[in-house]
Amino acid sequence: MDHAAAVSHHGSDEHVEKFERARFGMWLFLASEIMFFAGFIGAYVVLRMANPQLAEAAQKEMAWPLAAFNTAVLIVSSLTMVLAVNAISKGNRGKCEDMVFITAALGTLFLVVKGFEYAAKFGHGITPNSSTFWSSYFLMTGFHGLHVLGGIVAMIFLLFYIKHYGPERYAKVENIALYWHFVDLVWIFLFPIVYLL
Amino acid sequence: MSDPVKSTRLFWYVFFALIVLTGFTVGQSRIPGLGDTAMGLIIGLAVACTKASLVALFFMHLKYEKRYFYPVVIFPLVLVLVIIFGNFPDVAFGEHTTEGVETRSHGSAGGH
Repeated sequence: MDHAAAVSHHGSDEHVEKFERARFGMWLFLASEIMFFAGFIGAYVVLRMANPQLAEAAQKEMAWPLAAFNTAVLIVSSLTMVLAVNAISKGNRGKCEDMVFITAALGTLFLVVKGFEYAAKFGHGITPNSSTFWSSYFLMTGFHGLHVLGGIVAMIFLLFYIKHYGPERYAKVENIALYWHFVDLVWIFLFPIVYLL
Repeated sequence: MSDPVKSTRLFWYVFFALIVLTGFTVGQSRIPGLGDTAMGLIIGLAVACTKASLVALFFMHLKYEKRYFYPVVIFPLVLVLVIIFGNFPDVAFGEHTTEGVETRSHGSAGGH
């Protein structure tokens, strides 16, 4: 959208610039989150290369079908979230609410499946203390799960406020959507390097 | 900025591409003789990077942002590559592997 159209839609240069600053701020936060997960993933790669036999033994315990299902759940939730942003940008608050609710529900489903996966591992005597491989596994997937939970909480708050938003005031929807897509993006890397490769 | 993508069709195309690529990743990892080799690793990571790019460019609308947004994304990614691959000469081939530790302890047995 060119600047003239953006001003026409939002009513002022100030609004357009505020939206842009808000998004830029969110991207800065996501850049720090990239480094947050990079530390864990880097440690995992180093530990795995130093002890490949630990990873080979652990592969038998990896519930990759569950993880593949969870990957599909997060991808669908990313779609519903982007549809929510698209809806509110057109002033369709009802559809936006529905899509945010579905996204939060899918995120909850992800955590429930993850909970079953953890329970199965604990039942087999596998804990973060079991080995450096399992320690880094629980660290990466645990922190990712916490980020998913944070996104769900943010969406619950959003559902209370969407009724006040119109196409000129949906920066919060857009920023929470950016966060949620990032959570999906992290899992796009975690899934293959932990469960498949 | 309102959503620069008026039609939702593009999002559905990206969604189906992500699902297909996920299925491809799972499928190729299960092929004996491919999934557990270096080529399988390269393919898996390449597909993951493609999926991540689709999410970032289209779902996160990075494709439609102004250019000054890009260094915020690219710079951390460069650092990620340094963090992950900077240690490779040591951990993959050097004395910090399990084999390297065993070699050192045999070589210095008289010193302890």
